[in-house]
Amino acid sequence: MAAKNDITWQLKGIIIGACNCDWGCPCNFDAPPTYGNCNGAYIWQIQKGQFGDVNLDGFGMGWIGESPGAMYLGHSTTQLIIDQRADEARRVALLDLLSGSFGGPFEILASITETWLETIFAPLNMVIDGLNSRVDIPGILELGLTSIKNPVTGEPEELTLVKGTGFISNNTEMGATAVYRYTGGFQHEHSGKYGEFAEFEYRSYR
Amino acid sequence: MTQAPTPYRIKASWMEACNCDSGCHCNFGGFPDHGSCEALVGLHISDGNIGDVDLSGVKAVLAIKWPKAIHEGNGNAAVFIDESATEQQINGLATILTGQAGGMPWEILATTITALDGPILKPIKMNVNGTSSTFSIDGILEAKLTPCKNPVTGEDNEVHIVFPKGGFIWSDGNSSTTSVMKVDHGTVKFDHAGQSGIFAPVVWTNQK
Repeated sequence: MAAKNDITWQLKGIIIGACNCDWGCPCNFDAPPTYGNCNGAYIWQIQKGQFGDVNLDGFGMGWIGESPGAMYLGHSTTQLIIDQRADEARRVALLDLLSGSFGGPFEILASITETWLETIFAPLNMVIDGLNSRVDIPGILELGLTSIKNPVTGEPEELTLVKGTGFISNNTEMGATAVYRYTGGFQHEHSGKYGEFAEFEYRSYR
Repeated sequence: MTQAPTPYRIKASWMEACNCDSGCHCNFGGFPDHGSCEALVGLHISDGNIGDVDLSGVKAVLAIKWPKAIHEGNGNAAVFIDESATEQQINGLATILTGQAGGMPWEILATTITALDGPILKPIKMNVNGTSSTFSIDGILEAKLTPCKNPVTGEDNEVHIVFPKGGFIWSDGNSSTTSVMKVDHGTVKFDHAGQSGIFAPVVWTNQK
């Protein structure tokens, strides 16, 4: 396999995240997860993407994981999801990226993974609309974002996490999930818990 | 009484330390991580006035226990103002903090307090320095903010909670943790080092 410095790549797009933590997700603040463990999903929609000479514009991918403690403590089990519209070259490129061997945040996510479940190739049906975004993978994932509501007035709260050192995203709209249900290699039912929406931009080390 | 409240406008540094985990869950839907809300707040007014009274340089500390979420009320509060303040400054700031002069957030926060001790005049030590700010009153309370740390690399993480349309108390909170956070003043007594800290600039007024 090629080493991580052998291929130049860059990705830009939208990321949608959901987990089992309460709203705000204490992991954002280097505190332990609300319920001790982390069950979560990251779904990326690549708007502009290039991996070597493979163009990735418009393709999606997902990282679904379970960690027994805080994510950084490792021992995670991970299942990858690859947009089934991707042809063979794109599948290889997306899997190379997600393997962590080519750097970026994927290197960190891979480093905490102890067990890899079988990768799923499926259609990612995405509606990109801030905290009203949705991802549907028929029979596998329902993920719909919504806003946090003010406990007194019931009005939607607009809340942004600005974290220059964040490795997944740096400017993140913090919300909740209207639905987060995963029935792939894990069973996640965490609707109503933490959800987030952000733009991302990652690139290779060179 | 129909007399209009005295107009005020203050800019201050807000240094909060509470018993929630870092980030403070109350920012995300109003309910604390561990049931109750127990908080110390240092306030350093950099610029401000109420009516003709200049409040620049006035320091205050609030120590408050709410048995449940803040908006569920029954708060037990002690308000300390630095003894270098003049009588007019003390009265002016007390009028604001007790909600009597109106304006957010105090006209709401004051309604959540059922027991109020103060203002108590004490020498307040305060070092305003972002997420490394400290404040203390000898023999009564002490708080030291310290930056969030990346748990893997140990490097400082600068993490801001931003309300783009304006927050209730502050709009851009620089999240931290604490190395010291304790108070022992009558029924207001707690010790929660290692939990949430937030440093934020605030601008409060009862004018448009």
